[in-house]
Amino acid sequence: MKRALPLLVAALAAFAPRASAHEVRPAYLELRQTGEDTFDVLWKVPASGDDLRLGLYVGLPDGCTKLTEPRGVFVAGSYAERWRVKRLGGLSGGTIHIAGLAGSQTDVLIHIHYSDGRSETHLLRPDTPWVKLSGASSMGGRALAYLRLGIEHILLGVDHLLFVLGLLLIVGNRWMLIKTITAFTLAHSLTLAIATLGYAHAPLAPLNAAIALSILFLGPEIVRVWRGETSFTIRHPWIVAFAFGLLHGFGFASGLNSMGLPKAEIPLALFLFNVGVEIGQLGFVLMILRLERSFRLLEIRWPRFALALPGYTVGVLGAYWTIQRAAMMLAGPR
Amino acid sequence: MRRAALAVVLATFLLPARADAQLVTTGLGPVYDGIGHLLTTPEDLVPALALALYAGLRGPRAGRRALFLLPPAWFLGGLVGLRSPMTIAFPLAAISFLAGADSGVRGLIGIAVALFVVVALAAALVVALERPWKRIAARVAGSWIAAVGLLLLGWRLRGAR
Repeated sequence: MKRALPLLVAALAAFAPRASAHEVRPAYLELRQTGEDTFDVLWKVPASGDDLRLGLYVGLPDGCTKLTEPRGVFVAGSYAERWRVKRLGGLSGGTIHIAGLAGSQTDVLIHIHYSDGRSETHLLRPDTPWVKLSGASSMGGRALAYLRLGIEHILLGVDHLLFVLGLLLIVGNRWMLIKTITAFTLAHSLTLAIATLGYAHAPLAPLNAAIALSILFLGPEIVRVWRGETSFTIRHPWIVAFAFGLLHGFGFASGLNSMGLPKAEIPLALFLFNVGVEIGQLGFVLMILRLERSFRLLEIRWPRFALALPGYTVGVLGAYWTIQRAAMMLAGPR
Repeated sequence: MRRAALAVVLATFLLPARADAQLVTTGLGPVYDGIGHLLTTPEDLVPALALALYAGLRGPRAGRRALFLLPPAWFLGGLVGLRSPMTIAFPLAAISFLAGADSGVRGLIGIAVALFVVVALAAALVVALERPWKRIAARVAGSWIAAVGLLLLGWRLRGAR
């Protein structure tokens, strides 16, 4: 195993997703009707530092003319632009296209508020980077968009899934598993709500480094379980799950916060985004448990290195991400 | 059962595939595209399930062999298919998927991971069956898959004239 470890580290480092490789925060486009034919536009895209933004650009419906020039600022991990447009007859029937979305791995949430109280919500994805506006969207359509955002956020958040996998490898019995997963869920729901409602804020760079550190923390604990040793984490994994779950909740919140949703929309978005995250997490946990049962039924006798592999994988990836994200944090925004 | 399973495998893998085989774009990256591709493409999923059912009926040892042989073989077939286009079905499906999704090896990894999970779950499910009528039900399912494969083979051969 000692001989294989450097190879394992090199292989994992080579294949490990880079911290900046996948942007999981969606972009946000808001159009608010201010007159019969005029709309205020807010366009927010994820950004890094003061000069690096995601290459997504809005194509408004044909016939839209700019009444003011876009003014953009970098603020809290986002680049926000505001301007005013006019389109005779309103936006209904027009098509919004997002240039650059097809080649990306993020989503764009579009929110349109009409002056008569109607609203329209769409979630654009890389496979459909355009939408034809209909004039209003149903409550179900909006709900589905937020639910989908939550599921996608957890499925693309490899670090969150790896932390959950680490917890599954530590817990000894079913009751402890229920306690641990419940504690993690409660904790991250708590901070997700606090951060989304604006009561607390965690800067993204140190937060990502701390989340990586939580994964690194679990690596040695998994190896201890494998060796038959014990520790505070192995005896009380739910406490550790709760403590680190608070951190991960701030991470989930970045998926909603970067959009700067209107206040009236936040309760629905927060609830369904969280439900989406839980659906994704529960699906992952159930799949791991079913796989573990399948391995037992198929009477697979794993070699020693294979038994140690999950612990080393969690530890090595945790260490890799911690170093990478800490370096990015210390280097500061480019 | 052995002949039926062989027929399923041959019928499914040797069928000429259309170049516009179904592509899946999940928007979550090539690995998830690969997973989605396997789970939503009957011509790939059904023979994999059939093999898993058959291996499960033959016991844990056969189940283990299927689990550790099929996904790497599929992956290697995909890699070969990337380099030298062949006329059998599953490399073509992989090629068309890879060409469309521009996802290279990571897409194939997604397919292999999904295949590993599907085979593990299905084979273990059948291994765990204790009541005779449940095992008969698994055989009936396998026979139906074999029948569908043979029907499709006949259909394609007839259409090729």
